[in-house]
Amino acid sequence: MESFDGSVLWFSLPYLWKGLQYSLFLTFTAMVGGIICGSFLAMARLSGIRIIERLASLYVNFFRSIPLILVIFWLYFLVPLLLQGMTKTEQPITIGPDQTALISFILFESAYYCEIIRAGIQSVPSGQRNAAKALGLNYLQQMRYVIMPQAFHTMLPVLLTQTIVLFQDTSLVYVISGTDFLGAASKIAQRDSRLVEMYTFVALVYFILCYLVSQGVKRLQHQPSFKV
Amino acid sequence: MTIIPILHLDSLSKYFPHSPRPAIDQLTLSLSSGDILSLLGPSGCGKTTLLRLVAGFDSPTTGSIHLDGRLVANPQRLTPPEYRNVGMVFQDYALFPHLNVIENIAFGLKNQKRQSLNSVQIKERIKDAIALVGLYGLEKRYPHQLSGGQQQRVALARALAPHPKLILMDEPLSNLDVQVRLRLREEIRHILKTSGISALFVTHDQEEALSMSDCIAVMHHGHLEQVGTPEEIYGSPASRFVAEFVSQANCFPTRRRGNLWETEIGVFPVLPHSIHPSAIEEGFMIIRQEDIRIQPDQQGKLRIHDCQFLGREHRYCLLSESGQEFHARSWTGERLAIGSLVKLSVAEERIQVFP
Repeated sequence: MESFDGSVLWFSLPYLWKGLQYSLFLTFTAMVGGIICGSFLAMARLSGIRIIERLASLYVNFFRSIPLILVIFWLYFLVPLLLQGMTKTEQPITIGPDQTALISFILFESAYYCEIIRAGIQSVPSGQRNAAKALGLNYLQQMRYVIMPQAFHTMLPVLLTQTIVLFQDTSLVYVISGTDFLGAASKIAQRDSRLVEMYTFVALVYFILCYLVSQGVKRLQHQPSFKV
Repeated sequence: MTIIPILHLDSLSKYFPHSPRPAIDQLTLSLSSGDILSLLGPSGCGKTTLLRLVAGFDSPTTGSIHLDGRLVANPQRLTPPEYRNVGMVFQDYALFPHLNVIENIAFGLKNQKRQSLNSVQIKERIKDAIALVGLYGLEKRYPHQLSGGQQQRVALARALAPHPKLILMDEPLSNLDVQVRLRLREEIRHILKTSGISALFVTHDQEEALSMSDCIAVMHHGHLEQVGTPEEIYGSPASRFVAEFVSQANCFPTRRRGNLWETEIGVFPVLPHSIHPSAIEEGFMIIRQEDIRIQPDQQGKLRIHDCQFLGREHRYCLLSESGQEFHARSWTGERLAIGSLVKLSVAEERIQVFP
């Protein structure tokens, strides 16, 4: 094996930085989108209206039962063909890799966020909702002013942990040639035959980022929660 | 002119799934505007279920509920709790832990579009509510920084601030220690009377019911045993259950012999109107603890089994010859020795007999 050459890292830093920015962008957007969709899914699963509950749980169980990479493939390769068949056009209607990645992550992650949020909502004592009802709040107001603020406090550590997993999963965009952090490193590694340097460096950065955030989560968990 | 009661329940029943016996059984009850009505009964008698029906958290199986003349519930129609405009104080207070005292109290005001209060009026209402329950200086505290009694005051202020016509209280004092409970009893009654708000008050504590209410409804196995003023309930109970539960009276099996009634602790005359119904030949004699006087007597047939000093008087636990325990509250000066023999005299005009 050749000797370890650090200089290749130095020259490729700007490119890697762009890749990392893309990874963080994907993580952040998918997290926001996933939490918003997940909240609605969770409310649907707890709505008490049977058909809505069924549909929401079907969605959640479906996406929790298939690999993320399959969702990405489906959206990137099969959905364009489907769209073509439906609209009877000459060419497959392609969805760009960026949009594919984003849509897949939001679809997939909202199923996981939904379960976290549902558990959080259920952790709030039912007396709280009754008290809100007795004060004249409708369902959405009860959720927004009474249930969610309390549920969010208990589920914040779990949401962040899920987001760490999501950050690691963003590296899967590499399968549709997306240039995220790993993708960028991989391209340089192939071009310059510097596999050892690039993959070691990438692993180190992933480790440091995820470790720091998980330590932050740990501190959050030790914070006193609300007491009655 | 007929006065519309603030709350009217008409043949209300509630069956829960998988239970053949109704939790509420054909119950009819009215509450006049401005009155405090206590639902009194042992645990499991259905009083909390009744409160939940009035609040709107459950729907009745049969019968109807009218609030201030407006139909809010029957088996076909159910007005959800958020549209009933009824205040509620919960047993565990259910304060919002993420909000401070002011925000908790303001909660019911800001979200009631019907009332359309502006921010000045809201501040005014909050100030009034805080003054009413005496929470000055604690406005910025969070629920976990307050004592149990203070939390209960916040819960009360929160329920009162939107000026509901009726307020429901589910055993609001049962989680408090005795001194706080006694003080809050008086205060809550005073606050309700000052603000003119009617109240439905659930309790299993007969003293609480007697001291706080204008009217008491005694419940047993889902139906009403008796409705009346505290004096009526205590002085002339309608059934053996009411007598035993409300005044914790002694109960002896008894049989009529001529004009006298025979029991194992003696033979007593009973006034005709104290026999319910008057034609019975045997039943149970109810004698309240404070209607029994005891005196030391070496020839007596009753033995002192135990004695508690209550401050004003002693409460003796006595054993009859057959071994039945009963109680007497008696001012005997010196404490009589446990194991000594006594004879008793009874305020005979206050004895009652039930089947």
